[in-house]
Amino acid sequence: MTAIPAARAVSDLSYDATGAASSRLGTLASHGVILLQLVLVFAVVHEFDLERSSGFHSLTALIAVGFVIHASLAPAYRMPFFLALSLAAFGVVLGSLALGVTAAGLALIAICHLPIAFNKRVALLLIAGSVAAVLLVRGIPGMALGVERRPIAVLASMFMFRLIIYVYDLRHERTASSVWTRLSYFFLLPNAAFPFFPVVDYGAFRRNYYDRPPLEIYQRGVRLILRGAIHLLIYRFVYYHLSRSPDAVYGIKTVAIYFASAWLVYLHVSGLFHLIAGILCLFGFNLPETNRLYFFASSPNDLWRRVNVYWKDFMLKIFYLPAYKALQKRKASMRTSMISATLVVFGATWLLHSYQSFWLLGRFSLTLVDAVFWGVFGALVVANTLMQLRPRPRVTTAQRESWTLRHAIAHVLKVMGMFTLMSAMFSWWSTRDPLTWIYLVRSVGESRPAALMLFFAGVIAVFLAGVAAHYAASRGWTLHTGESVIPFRRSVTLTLAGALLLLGLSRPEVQQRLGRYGHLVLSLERERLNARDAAIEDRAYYEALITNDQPATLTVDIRPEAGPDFVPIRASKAARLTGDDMIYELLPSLSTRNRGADLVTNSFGIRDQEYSAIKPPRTYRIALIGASVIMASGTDQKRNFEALTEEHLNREPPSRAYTRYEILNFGVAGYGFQQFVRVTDKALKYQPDVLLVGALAGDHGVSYNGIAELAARRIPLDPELMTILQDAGIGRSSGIVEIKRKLKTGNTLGKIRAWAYRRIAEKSRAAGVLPVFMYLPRLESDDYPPGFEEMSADAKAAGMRVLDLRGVYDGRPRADYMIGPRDDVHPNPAGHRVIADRLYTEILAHSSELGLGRVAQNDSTTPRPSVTGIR
Amino acid sequence: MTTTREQITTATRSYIIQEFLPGESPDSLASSTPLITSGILDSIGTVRLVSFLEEEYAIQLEAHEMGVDTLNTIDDIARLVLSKVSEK
Repeated sequence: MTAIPAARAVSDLSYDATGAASSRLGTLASHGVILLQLVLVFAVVHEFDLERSSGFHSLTALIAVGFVIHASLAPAYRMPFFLALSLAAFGVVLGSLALGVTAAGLALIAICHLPIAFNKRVALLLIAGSVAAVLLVRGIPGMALGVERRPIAVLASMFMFRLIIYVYDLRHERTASSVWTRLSYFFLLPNAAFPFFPVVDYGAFRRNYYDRPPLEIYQRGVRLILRGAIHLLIYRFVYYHLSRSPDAVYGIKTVAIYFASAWLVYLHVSGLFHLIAGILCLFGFNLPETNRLYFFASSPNDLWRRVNVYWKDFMLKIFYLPAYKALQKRKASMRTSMISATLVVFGATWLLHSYQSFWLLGRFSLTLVDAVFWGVFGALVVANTLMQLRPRPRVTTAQRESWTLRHAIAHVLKVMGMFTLMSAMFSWWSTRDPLTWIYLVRSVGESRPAALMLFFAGVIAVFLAGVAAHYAASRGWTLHTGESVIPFRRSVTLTLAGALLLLGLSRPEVQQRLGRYGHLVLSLERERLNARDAAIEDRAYYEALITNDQPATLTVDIRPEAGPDFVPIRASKAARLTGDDMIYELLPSLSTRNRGADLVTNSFGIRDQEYSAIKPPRTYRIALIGASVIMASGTDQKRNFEALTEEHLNREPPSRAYTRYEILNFGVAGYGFQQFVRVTDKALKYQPDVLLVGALAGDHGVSYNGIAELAARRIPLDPELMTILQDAGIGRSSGIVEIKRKLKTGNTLGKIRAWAYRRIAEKSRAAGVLPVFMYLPRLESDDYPPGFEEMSADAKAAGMRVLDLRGVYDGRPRADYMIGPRDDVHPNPAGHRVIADRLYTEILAHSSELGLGRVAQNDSTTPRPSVTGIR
Repeated sequence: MTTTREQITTATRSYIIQEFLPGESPDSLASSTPLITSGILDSIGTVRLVSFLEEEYAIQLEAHEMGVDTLNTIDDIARLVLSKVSEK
């Protein structure tokens, strides 16, 4: 229940029907003020790199210019112009594929209006949907792999739900709409960049079009865009700094953060929806609020009404009310009808989330975890509905609005309880594995007393702050402006202040003055995956299946660089499972694509050109081992540092003792320390002169995942490695999360690293091969521990020669060497070029130690470097 | 007996005040005050209101008639009920 809406506030600059002011000049000035705010808010979007990979940045100029033209047009021309602008936006983002999307969309709309029986039109739409589904599963003929998902996702975003609503409304339409309205309803400009905005009510779309004075709607639009940007920045903070992997969670503090962050990342969804609703306001579509203070919901029903409101309205219209009326007609009681209809809604929500995943991501999966999530949410709403239907003493508006401590305490406890409940449910959803989730909850019982006390002190502080805020709100001391109309000047002032503040914070000189807080702001300026999701993208296949871990982000990822070939190598068709501690290996003589680059293997099963199995005379051969950076994930084969260095060595030979230089790349993405040891055996078969270990700090992450997987699957391991694991307390009964937690304690990974380097060096020396350690800094940060000192110390202790490539990326911004926002770990061709140049220099500098320029006395055909005396 | 628009308006206003806005004066609820879009009626409230109208006037509303387009104001409700009553 709510109070009767008060009369709208009279602003100091009236929002009249003609725009803002009575004169044409006044209207122009008002539009200029809107445009100024819009430019500043879009500058915030660009400065903080918000939603760049979605293609949104390429649309901001179009939107700003489009707004100016649209607002200056006579009302009759505005809707056609908006449609044209939307189609242009699809062209900007999709290129020529936009024509196909538009044609397919027009065909679907045409089916809705065919002069045949309604049921036949529905049947035709179902057939069209089925054909599209088959195309999505099998790929569109003649279209390159990796490009077809985005246009289908954009098309799906416009039609998968709106078509249902449209057909429903078409059947019951009482007033006809113009053809422009019908087309604009589907072809909404923001969908070009944001497919994850599929549901808009057709009735609301028509009803709210310029339902208020234009200036009021435009100003609301700018405000919503800024609010969306703020949501996205807060989301980034949560995503980068609070979200974590379940294996990094143990005890009350980390469990509380893990739970809360799982719910808080919903800010990504609400941020995008605000942004989109704001853009639509700029063109007169004054749609209702999409999300409203949902973290402050006080009951399940209250939350259902506040979060993703468009979805709730869709469910109400298409499922709840028809189900309710159908049951009523069968003489069911109102209570039974309402409960049953609610259950229908949550069942449909479960199914339709998979339906949505299918169209946007190309995969349909009905999981038990999802069923439990929606089942529990549905049960809570049913229970809440039953409570609401119980006779209760009537509370007047005056009583409700008068502040009492008892009421405040009850309300704050409800809000905190609801937040906790949703945090638990979203953590369940994102953890995906019930046993892991239970393990995390149980770990709270093993928290230190001081941590528990600190947690409860925090809860009490939040509670007291909530009661104080409740009191402040009752007195009208609140910053929240809600959706009521704010006087124009106040709204402009707030928006300008917000945008300028954010732009100021993005300046390096301001960040420098802010010290650690400046660093925090800086960390929010770039779009990237957080550590958890980066690990999920690049970890062992079975490990992913065992933990069933999911990315922390809630929105769908259909960015161009996340095409179908953006899968871990082990999950791709380039690899085969070995069933032992190697886990997987590359298939020989294969040609495919992975992470947007070619991936061609030779007959040895390595990502390299063909070499003879027997080393040719007077050839200096280097066997290179390592993980994804060494394999050059995401960069074409001929442009990676290994191929470039090899070419350089042959072009400018460091020694005349050799006529040919070969570098055989045994690097495989996702390999860790235990696999380096195994792949050494394979590499040594090809008679290298040098066994070069390409090492990065990131090797620890992949090793951590790989060893956890092997231990969880109880795969036999090297006895020395088994001893290290047993010393860490990892036994046969240990689960994956426990294994991972224990791997992080007592420098276990450091011990595994030292073991691996020792074994590699021993094997190499036994084969008469010089073991060399090459350290590459991580591309995204030099500060990533453990660093050069720790790793090279182990390599030296094992008897390896050390090549230090630190500083290889100095001199240019790191971003210039990265593949893209989605991948800040692997170098692009420019990055590989600087690595190759530096490696060549290092080889020259260490030529005598590497055996170059000196032919072994006892072997005139295969000169070898000395494998002794190298410490 | 013929049901007039005014009777429907009065009865609906009384019901809404009594059930959803207790303590408010009937005069404060205008015939054009938005009920659903302002949050006075949520989905449960809408269903209860429809149940009241169906019983009071012996009519049947369809699912598609239970939305914002037809029930958002007392004026809308009166118009809908009157059309249903006249269909009988």
